[in-house]
Formats: sequence, C-alpha cells, structure tokens
Amino acid sequence: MKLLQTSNTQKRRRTVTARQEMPLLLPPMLAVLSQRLPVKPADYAFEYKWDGVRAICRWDGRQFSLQSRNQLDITNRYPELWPLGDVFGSRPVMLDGEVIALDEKERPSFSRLQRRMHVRDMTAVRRLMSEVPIFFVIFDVLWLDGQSLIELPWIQRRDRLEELELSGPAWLRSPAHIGEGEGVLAAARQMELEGVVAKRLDSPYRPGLRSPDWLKVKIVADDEFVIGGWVPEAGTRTNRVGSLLLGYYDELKQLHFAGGVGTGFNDDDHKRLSRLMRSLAQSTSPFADRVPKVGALFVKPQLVAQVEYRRKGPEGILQQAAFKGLRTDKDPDEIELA
Amino acid sequence: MASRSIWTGSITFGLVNIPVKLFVAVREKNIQFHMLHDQDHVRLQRKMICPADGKEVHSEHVVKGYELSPGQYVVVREAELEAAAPKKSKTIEIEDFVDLGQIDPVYFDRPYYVVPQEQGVKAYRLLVESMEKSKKVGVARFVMRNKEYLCALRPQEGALVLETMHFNDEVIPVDQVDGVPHKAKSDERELKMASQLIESLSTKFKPEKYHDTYREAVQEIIEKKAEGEKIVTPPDVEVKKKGGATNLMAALEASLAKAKGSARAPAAAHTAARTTRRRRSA
Repeated sequence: MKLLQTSNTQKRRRTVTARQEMPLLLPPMLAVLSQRLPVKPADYAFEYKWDGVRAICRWDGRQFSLQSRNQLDITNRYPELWPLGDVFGSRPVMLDGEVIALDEKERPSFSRLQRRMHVRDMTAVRRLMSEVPIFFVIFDVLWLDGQSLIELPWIQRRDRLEELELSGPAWLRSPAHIGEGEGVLAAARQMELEGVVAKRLDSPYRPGLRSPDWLKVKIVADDEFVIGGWVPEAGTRTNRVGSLLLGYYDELKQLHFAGGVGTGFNDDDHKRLSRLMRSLAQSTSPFADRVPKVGALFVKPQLVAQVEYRRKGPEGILQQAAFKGLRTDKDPDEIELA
Repeated sequence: MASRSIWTGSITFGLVNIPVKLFVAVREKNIQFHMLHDQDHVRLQRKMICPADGKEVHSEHVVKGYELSPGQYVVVREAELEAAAPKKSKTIEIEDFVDLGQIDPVYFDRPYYVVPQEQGVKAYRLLVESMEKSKKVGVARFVMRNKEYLCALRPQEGALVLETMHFNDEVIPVDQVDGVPHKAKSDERELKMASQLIESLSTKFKPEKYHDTYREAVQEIIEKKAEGEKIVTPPDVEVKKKGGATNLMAALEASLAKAKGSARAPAAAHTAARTTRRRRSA
C-alpha cells in the first residue's frame, strides 16, 4: 500500500521550512467488530458509530481534498465540505470522519446517503445538495500545522481536535465520552444509530490497520416473524432461497409484510428452507398488504423465523436483517408486533 | 434600422447590377467586463513587454513574424500583406445558384441583411421574388475589410440575407473526428420506438423560447449592484439543514444524560468526558 505519497511541491517546500511532509493519502484506521463493550470502560472513549461513508479530509493550505476509505478522491461529490478548508486558512490539516445523510426523522440514513455517494456529475451533485444534504462528522485529527499526530495517543489527539473550531454549516465534531460505554450504547440504541465505537485512550492512530484498539459494537434488534413467502436465489440455482418474506399479525389477525431477510443462511438452512418452502407452497399471498418483491412465491404462514435486524424503516420494513434460525417452538399465530 | 451599414457595393450576376448595403443581422449580447486594479478600481492597461530587457515596446516597434520552426521567424511587413490582399472590389458576384438544402449549415458563419440603395430597389425586388419562386440561393464572393468571403445569398421574408461561409478546406470532414460511429442498420423495433419518442417531443421551433440564462443572471447582478444592493453569494447549504445534524447531537446528548441518570453508580464517576480528561491532563 502506498502510504506516504508526497507531491513534488511539498518536497521542495520541505527543504525550505524543514516541516514534515503531509502525506497525500492516509488509509483510515479501522475497528474490530466486538460482541460486547470492553470490560474496562475507563480505558476507552466511546463514540457513536455513524452509518455513512468514511472520509479523510486533507487541506494543505491551498487545496482541499476528500479521500474515501479505499483512497479514491471523492472531493467533488461533497461540495458542502469545500469551505472547510477556509476554516483552516494557512494551517495544513488532515481530519478523519464520516460523511452522513439524515432521514426525515433527522437520524443518519445510509440508504439516503446512497443517493449522493455515487454521484460524480457536478450538475447532478449541485441539484442533489438541497435534496440530500450531507454532514461530515469529524472524530480524529491526523495532521496539524506541519506535524503528524498519528503517533500521539487518542486522548491527546482528541485534545487537539477539541481545540479546533469545527462547527460549520455541514460539518461538526463527533461527541466522545470517556468510560461511558453503557450510556453511549443506550443513547445510540434509543436514537437508532448503528452502534458504538470504543477507542483505547492510549492508542495511536494506525493508518490502514484494523486494530483491536478500536472496537465497534453494533446494535441489533432481535425478533420473531412469520414466514409468508420467499424469493428464489437469482441465477441458476433457482430452488435455493434467496430471501424469506416476513410478516407479523395485527390485532385483527391480518398478516403484515415486514420486509425480507436474505442473509444469515448456512447450507443446512438452505436445504431445509427450500424443502419447506416447496411443501408449504400456496398460490395466493398470505399478506394483507402488497408485497413489493419481484419474483415472490408464497407459502402457508406456518413457520416462524428468528431474525436480527438493525432497525425498522418506513412502514415497519426491517433493515439489514439476518436470519438466525427457525423457531419450531413458536406458533405463528402468536407473532404479533410488540 | 438605425444602425449604420457596414459595406456598400452592388450585387452582380450576368448583366444585372443591383446597388446594395449590408447591415449586421446578429448582435452578440455577451456582457463585457473590464480589468480593474482591486485596490482602487483603476482600469488597467495592457503593455507589450520585451522579456529580454523587461522594457515596454511601443506599437511602432511591433512587427509581425511567422514562426517557421521554434525560434525561427520570418518577418512580414504590413506593406507586403497589403500587396497580397484581394483587390478592393465593390461587388458581390453571384457565381452559382443552388438549392438551399444542399448547403450544410456547418458552412454558414455570420449573417448580414442586404438592403437595396435607392436606384436598386426594383431590381432587388425582382431578384428576391425570382429566388423565392425558384427556391434557389446564390453562391457569391465579395471582399470586405481586406478579406475575401465566400457567401450565400438567400431570400427571407421579402429581403435578402447574406451568409458568409467557410471555405471547404476550413470545414473538418466528419470522418476525421474520432468516435463517430460507422453507419449500421439499427434494430427495426428500436428504431420505431426512437421515432415515436422523437414524434412525441416534436414541436414548432420557437426561438424566443430559449434564453441565455447565464447572461440574464449576470445582468441581474450588475443591475442590483448598480442600484447599490450588496451582492452576496447565497450559501449552498441552508442554515436549516445544519440544524439536522446539530439536533441529532443534542438529542444524543439528552439521551445519554437520561441513560446516565438511570444507570448504575459507577458510570457516574465518569461524567462529561471533557471534564474528566481535563483533570487527567492537568
């Protein structure tokens, strides 16, 4: 990996000022997935996990650039962030953060950001700026005033970050709370955020490394749903289950569609489910509402699935759902919305 | 028309001679800016500077040079150019009459209105009418400001329009342009669909429908400025939208405070991250 590419102009400048060369690119440090919060919370700072795209912003005193996690130049996709350079004027800086978009409830929404993150055409970007505004949530400073800060422990970098004026129309500092894992997790859960990142207070920034010094804890909801249909896997193996269509009963005993689950199946699940789906097949939909799935096949609503999901989206549709198993101990009629 | 004619002479073909004047038919409306010094708004001047000694060179010492090879010039004097210039003629000589449809619009450069002088009105009318009838346009040559032009004369609503034209060797043949696809037969069904689409978008050409919106916007800025209004570029992001993210942070803060309130005692030992840290680093 090319870690420290430097431009010629910077090399030339260096001979005059004896400053350190600011790298052109820095791959971001990554977190290891953890099932639970760290045992010794006092050694960690807890931050919210933002459901957006990671970006490293670089300002060399003249030019502003934004680089993605895989080191693509994404500067032109987010013109809202260009004035960030003006904040620093002649101070070169590199900041690490996440570009997010908010939904109508003002919660971070990755699906909404998807409308922006791939758009490169400037006219289209300009048009989308008012429709899908984005924000840069800044959580680390890697370079400041000609000095690399990556060797400093997190807590000292955080001090430098908090000294910076980082409140603009489209950017802000991400909150961090030392030792408060439980509280931050509870707040994240309440606000339906993706999770929490715990960062060791004494840890340096390790560019490009997935380090256990940073732990991400994802928030998942867990529930049981009635299987009312399925969509075969795309491609040749059409008898395999691509996704299951889930539902729950309301007080009038009507089955409501709650979205599909297309991940989390192991080979045994696949075998078992495709056999069951064929034996329970029925031509009509058991759902009271229209199922917006192309190629949906329906079954008698007799099976109950255990499903983990991130949250319920608009109209109660599950987001990022994963199959955990069949609940043979549950009667489908019991499955009502909690 | 109030404007002044830019050329006088006559149209000739065969034995016919019609005295005419030319008027511009198109006025570009680009907004002109001048270069000012930002300190005191004094209008700046261009000067020719000799890079050899950094001194200004006055126009009487400027000559024209043609670069044969890098750094190798032949100097051509104004007098020599004048000698080569086409003879100043006062005639628009129609050489051929052709169908208008045969001239690809790519050849046309600038249009002028041709207006008869007093003694030419009758012949002018006759020419226009006969061209309208035969649906022909005249291809002619004439000299204007030391340059010879190829032009087309075509009737338009009872008048003659002269279009200056590019010479054939000035027009780049389409096959010299990269990326132009070879002719191939398109799928019948697709072709039908595309034709239907074109049909559904077909309308009468109404030139008044299309505006130069950039020029209008610049004009508006200038007018407002002239009226003393301060022009500020509207920020791309509305303040309201900032609210979105700050609201979220405030909600998280409140949520966290609530969670801490109901949490176990040890959590209380690590209140606000910032103060804890301050104590540590102090």
